[in-house]
Formats: sequence, structure tokens, C-alpha cells
Amino acid sequence: MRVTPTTMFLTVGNGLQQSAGRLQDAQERLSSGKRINRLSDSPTDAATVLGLAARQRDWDAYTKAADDATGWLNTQDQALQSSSSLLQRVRELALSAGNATNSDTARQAIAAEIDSLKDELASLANTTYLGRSVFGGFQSTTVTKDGSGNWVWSGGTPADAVNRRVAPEVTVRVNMDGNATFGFAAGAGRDVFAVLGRLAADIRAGNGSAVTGADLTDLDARLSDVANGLATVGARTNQVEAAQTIGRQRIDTLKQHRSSLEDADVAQSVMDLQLAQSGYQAVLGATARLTMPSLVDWLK
Amino acid sequence: MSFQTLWVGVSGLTAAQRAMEVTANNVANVNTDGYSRQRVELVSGRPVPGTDGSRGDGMRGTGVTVADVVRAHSDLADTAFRSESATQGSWSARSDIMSRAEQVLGPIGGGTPKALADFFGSWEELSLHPDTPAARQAVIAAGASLAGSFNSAASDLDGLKAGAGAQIRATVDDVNRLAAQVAKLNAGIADATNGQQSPNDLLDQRDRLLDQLSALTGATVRPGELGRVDVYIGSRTLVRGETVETLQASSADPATVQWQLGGDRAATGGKLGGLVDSAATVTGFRSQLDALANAFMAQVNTAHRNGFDLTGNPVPAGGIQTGNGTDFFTGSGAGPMTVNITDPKQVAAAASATGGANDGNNALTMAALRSLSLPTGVTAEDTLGAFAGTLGTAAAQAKDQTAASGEVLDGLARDRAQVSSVSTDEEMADMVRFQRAYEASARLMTTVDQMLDRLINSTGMVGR
Repeated sequence: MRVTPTTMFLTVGNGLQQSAGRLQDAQERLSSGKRINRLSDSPTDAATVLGLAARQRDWDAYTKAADDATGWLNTQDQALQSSSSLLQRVRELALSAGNATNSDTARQAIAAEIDSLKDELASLANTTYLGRSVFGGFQSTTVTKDGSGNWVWSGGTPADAVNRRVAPEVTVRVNMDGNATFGFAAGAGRDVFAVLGRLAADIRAGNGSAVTGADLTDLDARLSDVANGLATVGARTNQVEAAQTIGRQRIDTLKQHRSSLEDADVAQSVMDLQLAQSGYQAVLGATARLTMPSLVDWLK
Repeated sequence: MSFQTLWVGVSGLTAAQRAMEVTANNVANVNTDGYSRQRVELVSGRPVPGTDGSRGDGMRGTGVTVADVVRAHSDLADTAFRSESATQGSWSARSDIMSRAEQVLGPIGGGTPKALADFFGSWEELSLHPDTPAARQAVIAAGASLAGSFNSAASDLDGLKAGAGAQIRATVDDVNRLAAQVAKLNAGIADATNGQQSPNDLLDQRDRLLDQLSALTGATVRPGELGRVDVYIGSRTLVRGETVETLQASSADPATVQWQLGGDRAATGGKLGGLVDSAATVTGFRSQLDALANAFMAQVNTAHRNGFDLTGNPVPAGGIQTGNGTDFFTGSGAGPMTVNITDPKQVAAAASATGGANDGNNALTMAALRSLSLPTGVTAEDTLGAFAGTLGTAAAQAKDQTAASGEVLDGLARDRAQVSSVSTDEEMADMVRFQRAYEASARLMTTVDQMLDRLINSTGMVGR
């Protein structure tokens, strides 16, 4: 094999190019902190990373929807808990009013309290979350007072569902159909406001048998409607919480997987950079020594 | 001994001088690209029989002559180098274009995939707050940014294709010029060969041109008569002896290379082949992008038409704009894709006519499109991911092949240099060798002169 200045320069020139290229790659990986800086660095991994990033954004959206759903459901839970204890209080009042020993004054006082509790219940029925009615479907209020001072239904239809997707296949309804919860679905005059109105009227009139009879039966039916509502809210809350837990786990897993594909191992990158640097310096050294003594130097 | 001996000495002087000239030429060209080192071929002169014809007198040599000046050259190394340089030319042309094509979707973690995810995200957000005008505006903005991202990817791909076409035209011009030069050199070489000369420097020049031709077109070289060469592209000759055929860039889209005579497509390899392939590949990418954009727009528009806008009007089927409702996207393909709605009220967030501002159920359906398959069988995001994978694979393949063939080519260049390049050490040794030979021949002539002097001036002078 002949060795000539040309072959030496070819060898060293290629070596310089290659090790400078390796140095640049190592620097890019270290400065960006990414193993994949463009698609071609690892096409399959890059495509996987894109898929993982998309899934991660999906789950971010689902958990955000779940947080919102929790807000809706907690608002209803509080409103229904208050409604329930309010109706319990009405029930106690009704029982004591049914007692024949009550004076007329005492009965009037009880009836007045029930009337004010009715208005309080109406404001609970009109509870909103972020300005939107939680019991009234797509309408802004659930009940409004009509001309004769009665609370009447002003909400939307039972089909007015506010839905939140909390996982890919899980959509949870986060508003409650006030029709059922407040007894409007039970038939004309049997909604909770009508029942309370009738109860107050019967107490005022001293109609004790109606108070402890038909009125109390209707009241109990409305109490159980509210309890059903609470149960529904509880079940939905559980569903949302389960989805949130899964969502957080999935996001962690997706992040880890993505990072393992995408991120450069810092220790490894530093090692790579140092190796590339010393390689480059070695080639530079070799280039500098290329002009070694030739026969020319000895022919004086 | 006779005057003949003097001429033997002269032949030695001449040969040493010629050898020295060649050495000087070699040293001068030590760094000349494509130069093959030359050396003199010396042969001893034709011997003459003895004067009296008897055996004892013997045949005597008549000195030395320069038979030829030859170049150190390996046709095998040339063939290997040119074939690999065609491969390298092809892949590096592809690598140039593909490394730009892989960037049309924007950076990883941003660009079109992110714009697509943000689009779905904006619908998800709208489903949470359908009563907020800002959320409706955000959906339109996200759609516009996605459409813009598709537009720029499409125009980048078009730009790459146009760039490849321009490069093809420029390269074809280069090839035609080089081919004409080869034909001209063929003529010169044939003349010299006819005159029993070795046209070494012309051969070197032609070899350099042939190297370039191979890298540009993947042309193969076959030897012809009188030192001429024929240059083939595929099975057709670009150069035959001293005649040339002309290539031209076709006006087809994507551009190809064809023979001027007859218009048949030229089977070019090398850089031209790489460019033609790349233009075709980029065209393929563009139609993949268009197909994706169209499928995606159809999916979005269908779902959008099922909804109701803020005023409770259904968005009409067929996408004909009639006052309140319309398609979300319009335009055919990734290039002209734009958002069709400008009024936030027209965003169909509701799934019921009576829902009004509080019904976000169609927005939820729109957001769910992200996990709904296109006619391709996978979701829009996954189709885009697969497309990105295709871009990346094409770029990675071109890059790897360029690097690999580059290394092979470097090795072959060294192999060739090993045979042809000038070694200064060798030339110095030759210089000393021929200097000594010259000195010895000169010395011989001095000696002969002294002997003749003795004969002429000192003979027959007895007693003088």
C-alpha cells in the first residue's frame, strides 16, 4: 500500500468531518435536552412521541372536564343536602302542628315558618354554578314566582343534559333534572312547593287530619325524591372521581413514556459530548502532525 | 571503443533529463485534483552486432531510450469510485430535500400536530362553557391556526418540488456541458493516440469530467477505439466517441429528465436520479397531506352540520351558507383549507334547537372527533402522526444512506489516490536516482573524451 500526502489528507479530512459531526450532534442533544430533535432522528419513536403527546393532551382535557364536573356535582350535593334538612325541618313542624294542643297563634307561627322555608327551598332550586342553573336544564332559573305568589316550574326539559367527558368512553351528566327532584314530574299540584303551600294552608285552617295524613305522605314522597337526587349525585361523583384517578395515572404514565423516548439522558449526553470532544481533539492533533519530516528534509 | 560510446553517454544524459522533467511535473502536481502521477518507461537501445561479425566481438548496446511516459492509473478503481459516487450523488440530493420535507409539519412538540390537538381542545373547552363568547371565538381561532398550519405545510412541499425542478434543469445543463467536453477530449486523445503518444494529461482531464458525469447522472463508461470512451446513461449513449446526445428537463409535473431526441425518459441515476425521485416523493407527500386535510374537513363539517348555532338554527346540510349556519372548514386540499365561519354565533355548540347558549353537547361531539376514525381507519391525529413518521423515515433513510455511501466513497477515493497520487518521498528518491545517473553519464563522456584525447593528441608522438 502506498502512502502519499494525498491519501493522508483524505484520511484525516474525513476523520475531521466525521468527528466534527459527532461533536455537533452531541452538543445539540445536550443543549436541547432532547434525544429526538427532528423526525428523522428516530422516525418510529418520533411518531410514537406524537401519539403520546396527543393522548396526553386528551387526558389533560378529560381531567379538566372532570374538575369542572366535580364543581357542578358538589354544588348540587350542597343544595340537595340543604333541601333535605329543610324538608326534615318542615316535617317536624308538620308533626308538631298536627298536635291538637297547639294554640291558634302557634299554628299561625308554624305556617309562617313553612312559607318562609318554601321560599328558601325555591332559592336552593335556583342554585347556579358559574352562572348556570344546575337543576333548570338549559334555562337560567328552575322555578319562578307567578302572579299569585306560587312557585312554578321555569326550567328546561328533562332532556336538557349538561355532559362532561371525563374519560375516552365515559360521559357523565352533571346537571340534575329538577322536574324529578322537586316533584314536578309527580303530577299537577304535587310538586314540593305546592305540597308546602297546601301544608301551610291546612295548618292555618287547623285541618290536623290532612296535615298528618295526605300532606305528610306527599311531603315524604318529595323527601325521597331529594334523597334519590342525592344518591344520583353521589354515584356521579364517584364516577368522576374514579375517572380523575385513572386520568392522573394515565397522564403520569404517558409523561414517563414520552420522556423515556424523547428526553436525552443528561449523564449519557455529557459523556457523549466529552467523548466527541476528545475524539475531535485527537483528530486535530493528528492533522497538525501530518506535515512530518519527509525525504526532502534529509536531502541537503 | 569508438565515438559510438559518446552517443551512449548522450542517450543516458537525455534519458535522465526526461526523467527529471517527469519528476518535476509530478512534484509540481502533488496537490492537483485528478492528477495521476507519471513515470518514464526506459528501454535499452537496439543492440548492434560486432564489426567483424565474429562471436567474440559480441553485440553491443546503444544506450537508453525513453519508450513512453505512462500514468499510474487503475481503471478498476475508477469504475468502483464512479459507481459509488453515483449512489452518493443520488442519496445526498435526496437527503437535501427530505431533510427539509421532514420539517414541513413544524418542530416536534409544536406545529401541525399541536394545532390539531389544540383544535379539539378548543371544542372541549367550549363544551364546558358554551355560554362564553370567548370560548366560541377560541374555536374559530384554533381552526384558523390549524388551517394555516396545513396551508404552510402544503406550500412548503410545493416549494420543495419547485426547487427540485429548478435543480434538475441546472444539473441537466451541467451534464450537457460536461458531455460536450468529454467528446472534445475524446477527439484530442484519439489524435494523440494515432500519433503513438500517451496523452496523459488529457486522460486525466477526461477522467475528472467522467467522475463528475457519473456523480450527476450515474453514467457508466466503456472504452472505445483509439483511447476514446463511450458514456452510457442506462442503455443509451450520452457520448459516443466524438458525438453527443442532449438531455433535457421535461415539463411534466413532477419534473423528469428526457432525451432531447425522441423525448424518451432518461434512466438517470446519480444526483439527477435522486432529484427526480425526490420530486416524485414530495408530490406523494403533498397528496397524502391533501387526503388527510380533506378527510378531516369532511369529518368536522359533517359533525358541525348536525349541531345548532347560538340562535338555535340548524346548520344546513350540504354546507350551503344560508344566513345562520355553514360548514366549519372550506376549501379542497391542504393548500386552500380555511375556516368558513367568521361570526362566533355560527359555531354550532348546541345539539338541540332550544338549548341556546347553555347547550354544549355538540361541542362535546366535535371534541370527541379526536378519537373517531377517519375513512383511513385511524383518527386524524394518528393519521397525522403516521404521515410525520413517513416524512421522518424518508429523511432518516436518505441521511443514513448518504453517510454510508459517503464513507464507502471516501475509502474508494483513498484506494484510487493510493495508485495515482504523487508521493513526494518517491519523487525525491527518483530525483536523486536520476541526478546520479546524469552525473554518471556526464562522467562517462568526460572519460571517453580523455581517452580520445589520449588517442588523438598523444598517439604517435614517440620521441617528440
